[in-house]
Amino acid sequence: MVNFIFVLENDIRQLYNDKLYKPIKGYAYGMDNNTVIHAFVKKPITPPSGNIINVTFHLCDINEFRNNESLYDGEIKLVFAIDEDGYLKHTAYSRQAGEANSFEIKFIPEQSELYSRSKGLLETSVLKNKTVGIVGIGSGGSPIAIELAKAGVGRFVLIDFDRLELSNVARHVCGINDLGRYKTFAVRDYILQKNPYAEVSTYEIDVNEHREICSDALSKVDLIIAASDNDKSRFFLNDLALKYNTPAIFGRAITRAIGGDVLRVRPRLGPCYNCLYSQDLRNTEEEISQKERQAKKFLPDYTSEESLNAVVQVGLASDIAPITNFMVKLALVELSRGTNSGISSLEEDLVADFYIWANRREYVYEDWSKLEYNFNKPSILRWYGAKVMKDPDCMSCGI
Amino acid sequence: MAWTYEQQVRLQKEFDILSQYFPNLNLVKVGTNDCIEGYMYTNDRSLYKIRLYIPTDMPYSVPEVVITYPNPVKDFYGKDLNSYGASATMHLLGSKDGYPKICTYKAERWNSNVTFYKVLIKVRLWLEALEGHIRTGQQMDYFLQHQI
Ligand SMILES: [Zn+2]
Repeated sequence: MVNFIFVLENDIRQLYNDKLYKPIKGYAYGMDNNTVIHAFVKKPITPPSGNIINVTFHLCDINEFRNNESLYDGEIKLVFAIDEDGYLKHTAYSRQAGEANSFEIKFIPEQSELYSRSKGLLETSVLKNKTVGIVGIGSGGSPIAIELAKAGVGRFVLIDFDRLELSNVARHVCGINDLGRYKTFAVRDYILQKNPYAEVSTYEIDVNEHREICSDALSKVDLIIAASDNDKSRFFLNDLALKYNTPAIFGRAITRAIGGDVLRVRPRLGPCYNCLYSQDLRNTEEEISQKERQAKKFLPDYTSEESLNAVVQVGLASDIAPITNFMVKLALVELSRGTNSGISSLEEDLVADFYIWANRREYVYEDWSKLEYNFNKPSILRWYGAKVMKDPDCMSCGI
Repeated sequence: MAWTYEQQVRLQKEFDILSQYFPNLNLVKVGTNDCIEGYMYTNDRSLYKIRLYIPTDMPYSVPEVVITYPNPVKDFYGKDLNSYGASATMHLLGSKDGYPKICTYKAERWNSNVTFYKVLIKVRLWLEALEGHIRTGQQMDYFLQHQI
């Protein structure tokens, strides 16, 4: 039987760079009856589940490596050396109850390698160095963060003051194991699961109350994702985008997620969030999460999730997903703009700044024609780009 | 309370507009609050004094507006408007600093494109509705659609 030990390539590179030629106690977690082990030189921020296992990392010279026969009872030893040709040699073994076990070491490569499969499609080397600031890490912001991490975005600033509650779980990336945690911390851990080399900074603050901290936190990002649940914060984020000349993407789902809309703000090149508002183009129907928050104020804490949902009529995650997914696409286009990536052609398609989506023919979308076999009439489950002009009298972006 | 640079820029824009359309209004300090205060005449030349509190997080919140003259402000029945508390039919939001606070914009309909000028236009409409109410006894709702 082959047992595997997964090791971060960077951990070993670091030992080599620091010339740490001696045994070092590591951190390891065994899963599936300890047939799969993840081992780390430094304690990981997000340890995998599983049993804690004793391991030792040992970087030695190549002669020592070849003659190394000192087996530690019960303990797994990972031995590394660089041979005469500069290749990394490695082996791992243990002896339990007199019986020797060997393991196959598998390296988790550096970020650029991790996302090499997107190469050609996305300029992963570019995305690796981009920072995305996400405000609102709820049912909208959390999947966006994870998708961007999967695409290879290397740096994140997460801002949200909320903690994960039972009623969020059905629509959030995080699950029961994260109940009670700040959404920022929980989602940071999920990002690191997709990309252990990502740099994630978090701010557990209410944007509407700590504008200065928020302003500083977003001053150096390459893109702002406004996934908060209230207009007040969005107007502020719009002003920040204009102040820092940083593109921003605003998105929201309306009641029961019957649909939603997305606005891309490219400062000075197109309309801002305020321009859109003054032209009265958005459905003024209240947003889901805001309603949920309001309803919770009036309902006792012991209200079941079911009755809460009946009151606020939140949407399904699958109804929110098209909106967040579209925001991710717009984000990748903005982050890759000018890099001649495989998605450059999208720049020609996504010329509109404002987009509308409907999930069901209800309320404001009631009169839309049935999807059936029509493809030339407005219908559900399709994106529609709308031309929105810059408002010359806009108080935020006008002169 | 010190205004940020962005707020100072915005205030300058606001005052430029106000000096054109509401030259009787001035910037005053009430306690620690910066306020816009001054007289307004209704169409039949009744005189009111109004005060708009500039929100510290301007332009992200609806400014509070009170009527400071006449004091008290009385309704059709001679009743002090303060005694209504918050009233949808009278478009009142309770009291602030002892004066009746009037409804201009609902918080959820507020956007940072709304200038003090637009708020003050709403105040003018509210005063006309009050006059209508005092003249006829009709509720203010009759004269004002609910403020959006
Ligand atoms: Zn604008």
